[in-house]
Amino acid sequence: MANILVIEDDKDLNAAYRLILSRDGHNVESAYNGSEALKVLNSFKPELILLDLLMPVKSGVEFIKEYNKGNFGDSKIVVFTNLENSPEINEALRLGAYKCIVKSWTAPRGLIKVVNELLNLQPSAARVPEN
Amino acid sequence: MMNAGDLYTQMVEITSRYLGPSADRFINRQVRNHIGKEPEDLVGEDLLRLIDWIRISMVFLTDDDEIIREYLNRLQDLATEFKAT
Amino acid sequence: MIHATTEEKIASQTLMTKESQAKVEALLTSIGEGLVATDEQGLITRVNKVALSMLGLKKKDIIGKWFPDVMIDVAADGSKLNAINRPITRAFLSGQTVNDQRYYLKSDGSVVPISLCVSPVMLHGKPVGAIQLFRDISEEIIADTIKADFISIASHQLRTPLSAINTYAHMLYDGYAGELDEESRLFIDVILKAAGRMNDLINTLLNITRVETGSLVVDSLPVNLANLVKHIVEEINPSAKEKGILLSLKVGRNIPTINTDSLLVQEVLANLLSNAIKYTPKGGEVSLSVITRSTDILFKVKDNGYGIPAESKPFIFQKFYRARNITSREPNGTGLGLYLINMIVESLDGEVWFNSRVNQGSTFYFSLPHKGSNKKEGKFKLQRPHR
Repeated sequence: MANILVIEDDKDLNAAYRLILSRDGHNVESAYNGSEALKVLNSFKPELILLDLLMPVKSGVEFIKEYNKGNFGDSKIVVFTNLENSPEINEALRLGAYKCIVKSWTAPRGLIKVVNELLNLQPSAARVPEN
Repeated sequence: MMNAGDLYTQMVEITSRYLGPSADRFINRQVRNHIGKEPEDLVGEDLLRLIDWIRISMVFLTDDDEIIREYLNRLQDLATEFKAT
Repeated sequence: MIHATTEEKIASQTLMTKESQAKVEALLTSIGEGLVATDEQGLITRVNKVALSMLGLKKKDIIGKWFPDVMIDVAADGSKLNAINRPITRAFLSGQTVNDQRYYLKSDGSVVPISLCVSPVMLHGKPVGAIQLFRDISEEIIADTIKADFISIASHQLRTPLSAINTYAHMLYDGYAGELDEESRLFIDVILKAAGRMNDLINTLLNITRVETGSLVVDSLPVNLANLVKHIVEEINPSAKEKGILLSLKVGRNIPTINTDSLLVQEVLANLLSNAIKYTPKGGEVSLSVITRSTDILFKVKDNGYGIPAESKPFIFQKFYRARNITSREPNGTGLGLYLINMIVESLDGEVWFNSRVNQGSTFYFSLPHKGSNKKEGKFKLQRPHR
């Protein structure tokens, strides 16, 4: 389906997003901060980047700035954060992030829906048991 | 027979001419804290008891003695109208 | 001989009175806080050295002057405040001592943060003036800012594990670790609800810190209030239905669009409605109505629930206060909701008040002026809970 890069410093959440999206049929790579992510992007070209804003070493906003400067391709960047209405979110959107999602309130279905909408794909069948 | 709730409504209406949108809260708190009754239970004597408190509250909101006198006279008249029989 | 004795007596009594007066003066001068007292016309009759020094004024500038002309209440940025919100007005509205933190304008134009305590002076059961003590709290303000920053960081740290709880609970529910039976799903529902409550609590604490430190943004943009109330009722309806409570909405004619902060108005109404639902037993009724009046728009949230006992009414907007008749029925409450609502309404330039009878229900009123809310610069917007 699609290449997706998850950039999130919390290992549990990172693992969760990876599991949800790979079960939905996508090819997912992980990074735990902005610096690592830039290294991964040397050999991995994702259609979509899920980006946490508050990370150590290199923050989400700093990552976007460096991404824009370099020759890393043309991924859609979606910002994931727990901070609603903060200056960091506005800055990220201003720098070219596509959308912002609130972390603590996004369930697996919600994540899959947003990702597939952004990739213009239909949600894949039967990865998630019907309720 | 005057509806007791009318007394409260009229107190608020008169007060709003002087305090604008703050009138509701002003009268509500005066009544609740100094008389301890709900609006529909008020009688004219209650309003008379309130006059001293209303006067001193107004004194710190405006230094226009005439306005205060005019307002309090209106309330006195209203209290007389609603005296319990 | 008799006259001399009388004269001696008078002289001695005059001397004693003068001495008592001197002692009282010494007492008042020695108080470590600023002291100002007024008569029943609101004119200042007494002031001590500490007060003069804090305000940068001389005694002749103060004695006999009108209290609000001398003790000028301003916001942190120096802008004037609505007179009815002044602590001294509230002291007369309540008949009780009011403790508050304010900013006063000094004679040199600078602003000093103060903590004050103002009381009505009573004589033979009638109010005859006011007495206020106050002190400079500049250092405490710095400590408060540090505290607020800490709460901000702590709240963010708390949200991260909460995200993991929420995400993994959802994944379990959706079968990512295998099919679940009905009981397991019910257990996960409990986990998710508890995580939701914790998230709401973190939001409330953050919001209160922001309102208290004056760092909350207040927008002033056109808001269609008729649409807003419909949206809020839709948002709250599921929780009413869950409790078998009938939630109704009545929108009056010609409800205008006014310049205000949509997020904050939504938060006030959502909070009032949630409270009404929370403190009304199953099968009860809650209604929201909105009408336009000559100077303002009036929202009314009415319930037929437990009501508020008379002894609780003066404290209902205080931080952490919960009336005794509800703590036994509804243990899950922080006592922060109405405190926050009161502060938000003040920042919207609106008013909030209520009537209530025990076991009959309460009606909360919230008004916004037609001229709308003034924009206030700040660092943070309100965090609204997800419902």
